[in-house]
Amino acid sequence: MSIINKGFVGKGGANEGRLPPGQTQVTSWPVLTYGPTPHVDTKTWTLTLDGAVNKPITLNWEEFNALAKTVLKTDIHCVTRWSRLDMPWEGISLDDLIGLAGGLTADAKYMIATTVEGYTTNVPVRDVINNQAMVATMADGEPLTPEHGGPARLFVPHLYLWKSAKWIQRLTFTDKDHSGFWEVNGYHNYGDPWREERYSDDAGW
Amino acid sequence: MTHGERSATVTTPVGSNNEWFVATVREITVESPTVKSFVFDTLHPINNIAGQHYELRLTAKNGYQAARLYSATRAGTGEKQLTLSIMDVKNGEVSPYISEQLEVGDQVEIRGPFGKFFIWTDEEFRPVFLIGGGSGVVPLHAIFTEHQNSGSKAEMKMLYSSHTYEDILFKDAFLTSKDTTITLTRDHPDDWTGKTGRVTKELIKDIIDSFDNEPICYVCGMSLFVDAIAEGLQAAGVPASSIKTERFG
Repeated sequence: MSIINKGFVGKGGANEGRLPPGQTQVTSWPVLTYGPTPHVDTKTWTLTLDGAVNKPITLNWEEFNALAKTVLKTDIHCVTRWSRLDMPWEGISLDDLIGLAGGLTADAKYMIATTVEGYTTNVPVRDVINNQAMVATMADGEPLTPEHGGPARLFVPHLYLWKSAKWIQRLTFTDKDHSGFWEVNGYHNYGDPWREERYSDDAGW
Repeated sequence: MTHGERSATVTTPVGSNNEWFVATVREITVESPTVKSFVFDTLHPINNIAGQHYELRLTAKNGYQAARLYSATRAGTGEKQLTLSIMDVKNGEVSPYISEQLEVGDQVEIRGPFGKFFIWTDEEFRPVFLIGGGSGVVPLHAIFTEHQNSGSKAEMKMLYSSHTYEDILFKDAFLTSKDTTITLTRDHPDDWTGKTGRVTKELIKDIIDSFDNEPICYVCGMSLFVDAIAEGLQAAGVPASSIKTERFG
């Protein structure tokens, strides 16, 4: 049973069907981070893929940027209830990075993303393969700024945006799930916006 | 993980915090030209930790719903009462209705509490430095008052950046506190004896240096404010792992 707030109209409806439940469309790009914004120097930046891959790799900024880019126009959804529609993103597909690491072994069930300051988040492998995820370096046609995770962040647009870890440094593939930073701090382990999997107690799949 | 400083052990509230409950407006206090505090009567005891937030949901006649996150004004005491201090965000979807139309006796739906990171309990023995901009002081007020009420011996200082004197929230708590520094950035009364102008790196360093031991820092406000403060804290020697931030806008 829900109460009715007399006189409340809200702004819903304009993009019905495009917005997951409980989300409001914004045209700005709000910033949410649990701590200070790190300023990452691309001269020392590296990205490592390790764990359940056949050939663990570490790429520097030049090697990483020499890879073929993937572009994607997609919607993004933040658990704090804003969404942006049709946002252009560019980066290196996780499929390409995994291929470069010799492919996944049979043990690879989950991916743990770790950032330069030690933030972690967990995503099932089935959610990052088959053109679903990238390590992004550009958004809105511009290089990612530090507050939005630049120089490079994980990007998994079909999940709430905290899964798209900023300042990405390491992608570790494992056979067991390990809850990340927000996931142990009360947020949902999977985070599907269409099922409103916001908090750890929210009934999910 | 570098975030092991998550405050000691936290008592998990009994039952699920994700179920919406009906709350009835009991009292409305005008805190400033843009912020009002709403005391809600609830059916169940409120036991949130200082710094946690709740979701408040409105429902339109056609069934459309919109919800937003708001920090609790103080830690829960086990009473069936919850206070949220809410800023009227221009062009917002939810807060203008709350600020301008919600009246005593009206009902809304609320769920929570949420957040286990930007929190403080008296089990935290390290010194604490609270830095807030504008309505970012709401969760800091919860921590500030919980620190006082708990009788904690941990050193605590507060720095509050407000546009004007009229915009200062919770004047009873902050204006009388010798451990609180308030700076007014836009305009100030002729007899204002506090600081004026934006928070500088020097001011941050002075306060950091006045602590006996390195504090854990809680910063809340607009994103640009939080970034400037976090940089000032780091320039003053505070490691990133001792800085917790909460941002809006």
